[in-house]
Amino acid sequence: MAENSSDLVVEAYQLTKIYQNRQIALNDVNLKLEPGCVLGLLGHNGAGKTTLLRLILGLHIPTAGWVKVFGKKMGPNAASLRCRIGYIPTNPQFPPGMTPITYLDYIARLFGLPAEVRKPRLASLIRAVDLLGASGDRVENFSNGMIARLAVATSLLNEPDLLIWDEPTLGLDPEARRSMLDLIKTLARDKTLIIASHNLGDIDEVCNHAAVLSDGHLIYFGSLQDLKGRMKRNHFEFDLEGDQKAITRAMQALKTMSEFKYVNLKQRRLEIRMSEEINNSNALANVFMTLADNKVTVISIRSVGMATEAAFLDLVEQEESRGFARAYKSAA
Amino acid sequence: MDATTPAAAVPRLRINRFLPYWAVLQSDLKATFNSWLYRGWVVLSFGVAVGYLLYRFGATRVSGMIQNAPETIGDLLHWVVYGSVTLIIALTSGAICAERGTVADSVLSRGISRYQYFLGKWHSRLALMLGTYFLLAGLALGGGYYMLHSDALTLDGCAVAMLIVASMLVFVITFGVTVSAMSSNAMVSIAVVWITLYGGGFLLTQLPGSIPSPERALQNLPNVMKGFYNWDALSRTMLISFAVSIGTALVGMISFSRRDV
Repeated sequence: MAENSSDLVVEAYQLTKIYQNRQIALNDVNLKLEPGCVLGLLGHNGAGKTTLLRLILGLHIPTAGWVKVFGKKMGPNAASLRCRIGYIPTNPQFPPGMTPITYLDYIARLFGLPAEVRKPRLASLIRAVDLLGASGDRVENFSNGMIARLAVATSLLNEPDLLIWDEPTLGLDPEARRSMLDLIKTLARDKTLIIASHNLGDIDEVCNHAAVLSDGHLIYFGSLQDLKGRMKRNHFEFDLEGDQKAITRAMQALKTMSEFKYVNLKQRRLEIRMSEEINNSNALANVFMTLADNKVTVISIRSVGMATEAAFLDLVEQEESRGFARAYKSAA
Repeated sequence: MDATTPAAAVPRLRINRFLPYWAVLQSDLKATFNSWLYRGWVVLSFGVAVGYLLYRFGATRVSGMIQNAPETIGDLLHWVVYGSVTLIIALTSGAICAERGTVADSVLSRGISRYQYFLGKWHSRLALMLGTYFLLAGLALGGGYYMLHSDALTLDGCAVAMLIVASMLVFVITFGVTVSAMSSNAMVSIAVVWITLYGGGFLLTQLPGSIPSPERALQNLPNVMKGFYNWDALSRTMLISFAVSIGTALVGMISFSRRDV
């Protein structure tokens, strides 16, 4: 754990963004991102993901709170901090009439890289992202995949310590998506990454931390394992053996018990989800006793590791169901 | 290398702090130069100047009417400036706001400060518009000198006349870029600049003659070209114009550095 706040890559404190007193895009967000973290930023459309990223980049100014990057406060004129960040926006836009070479040269000059550094570097990157054959073509004629590759090259031009990629796999075909995910895994070895995505499968594959935003509020920030673990402890599947009628009877008995939120039988596979509040050992004991009473044998039992998607949806659902109760959270 | 030998120091990357500003300036200069609006402005101004001078030249040759170069060129500058201001407004008022939410994201998320970005845009528009103006006005003066009755023309008067118009254009360009930095919509920005400049110019003409106004300055151009001018008064007015332009740009720059992109 980073003890000192200057060791953190990103630190946000009570970060709030209200657009023109009309729309609350981000509300009291606190987060600390340590070096080496690969953070998956999750949330529905309009949850505040892009706003958070733009605040981290200094493209937007916080209405309240602050964000520090590499221990220093980020703002519109913090150019030296942005020199350590590689950014890919959701839909990268390019000035008209530029080719990959002229565009990368332009961006490298925006980082202040002298010619003897930027020329070899942009040539290597064009080769690395496989745009050598199109290096003299105009960018406006590029396909989505080529634009994504050029955007990746652009974000790596300054050899950044922090990468912020907003929807990097959006609009990519399966092959390009696979290459992008492999690249993220490679980069994650020595860089800190923030990946915003709607594709929870991608987040599941490449990230080790997750932040979940709902209506501008950060409802979860922690390791991805913990997020999935929230569901894992209370969701079990049993493979059973015995008379089908006895199994059905046992299932009916379990359905009457209050500690189970969800009981379902598919042929001889029993699926049980328990309430959050109860001790799962006691509940499991009740399941075994009920099965034993009905002379049903357990062949196997397993905890169902919920995918990130289910965990995310459950988290958002819980947040929405809290209603006015959330108003008391900060006071408590 | 043994364990006690210090590792070779990694050379620190030399960052050129001036380069981001220069990159924006060059890129904007090129993009504006290639825009159809700029080219339209140049072609239109050149066409008007050539047509007007040929018409006056024809009048001299056909009917023998003497056409005084100072009056003719003064008239030309007067009306070309009035017409050009609308196009210059369109060329400058979208300089920054037209890129919001598109290309500006890709630029401002790199190692450039808002100040550098604003200055790059402002200076590029100033350089291109003023450069074009001096070229066109120089050609008009040169053409007028050879084609019209130019005995009364003085070299210093012509230079001062060009500077007077240039000082007005500096303010028009600066104001356009400033409003563009403070606005989120190019059309709104153009409307605001157009109404303010033409409305402000009209209001100044309604004030007493002792107060300088663009209209009075333009009407006085033939006299200036003949060498009848008070350099102290004119230089003071031009200095005030430059100072107001710099003040306006500062407001725009500070405002832009405190806004969302």
